[in-house]
Amino acid sequence: MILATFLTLLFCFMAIYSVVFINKVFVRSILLISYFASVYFIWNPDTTTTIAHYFGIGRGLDFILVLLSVIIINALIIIARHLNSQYQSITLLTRHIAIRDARESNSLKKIDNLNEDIECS
Amino acid sequence: MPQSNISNLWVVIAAYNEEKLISETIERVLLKNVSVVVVDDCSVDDTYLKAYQSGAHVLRHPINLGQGAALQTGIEYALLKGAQHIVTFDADGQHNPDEIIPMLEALKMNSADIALGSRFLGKTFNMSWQRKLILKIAIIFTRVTGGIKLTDVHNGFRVMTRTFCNKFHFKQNRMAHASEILNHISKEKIRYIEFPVTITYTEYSVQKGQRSSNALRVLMELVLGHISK
Repeated sequence: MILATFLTLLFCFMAIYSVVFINKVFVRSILLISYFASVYFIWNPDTTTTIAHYFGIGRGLDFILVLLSVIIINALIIIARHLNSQYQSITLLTRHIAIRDARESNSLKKIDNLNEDIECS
Repeated sequence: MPQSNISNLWVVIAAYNEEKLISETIERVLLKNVSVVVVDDCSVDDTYLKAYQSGAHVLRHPINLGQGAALQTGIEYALLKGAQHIVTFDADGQHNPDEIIPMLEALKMNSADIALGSRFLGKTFNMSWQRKLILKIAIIFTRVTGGIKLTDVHNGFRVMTRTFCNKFHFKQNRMAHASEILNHISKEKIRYIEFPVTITYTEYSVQKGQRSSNALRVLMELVLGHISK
């Protein structure tokens, strides 16, 4: 009962998160269906055995494990996207600093100084 | 052959721990009367200092990002400085600076947006058979996945127009940037030419980063790049 409640809360949270942060409608829909199906299966475990048989898997628990794997993979993709987004931001910041602190060619300065000397003389 | 205006030609060199050869490379390129910008990708040696003393414009990444990111930084700097044509060039002495101007002229003559160096149209010295095999597989892979027919891929010697650089930005920070640019060329139907170039594999350059296992790394970067887009 405790685990079932915990998983329900977790999947509900992930469903809300998907609605808020996943922009692609198709991906969001798939995730939502997966999360709500998972909540349903937690409270109706016998259904999973029926579905598991339909897919050629022996037991309902195995089916849940397969579903869990799908969810974990989804979560990893979301994390990868976040990491990539962070990495892009770091890249842009690094680039900004590098260009801001650029040191122009000293050979140009030498030429400028030479020109100034010529003009002065 | 038309005379090239090289006053707005910028050579971008990405460098990471290249203190041994960076001065020589810059000095050889500067003999062509072009502007050189070196992007030091957070080296732990004296690459930055040596590049500056050799007469290049020098930028430094405060953290190590990779060759693709360093090239993009150098390109953006060159564009800010008014570059009309931009060359990407390796820091480790593999490329021949004598081929920069002929490559630019070929680009202009063919009204192309990018000229890609090809070691298989040109010459290679001391290339291992493993390297050759990996490159040939990469050529076939690029032909199948990108639909672009080239004689060489992952060659860092390129000449690009300002227009091209304004539209294309390297998002792959590390080695996969070379595939990224080819995908862009294929997708956007960019006018390109291949130009025969000479690549000299030295003991130094092989030790620095020409391992065949890099191909797997590039593949992984491309896959992860697509997933995490």
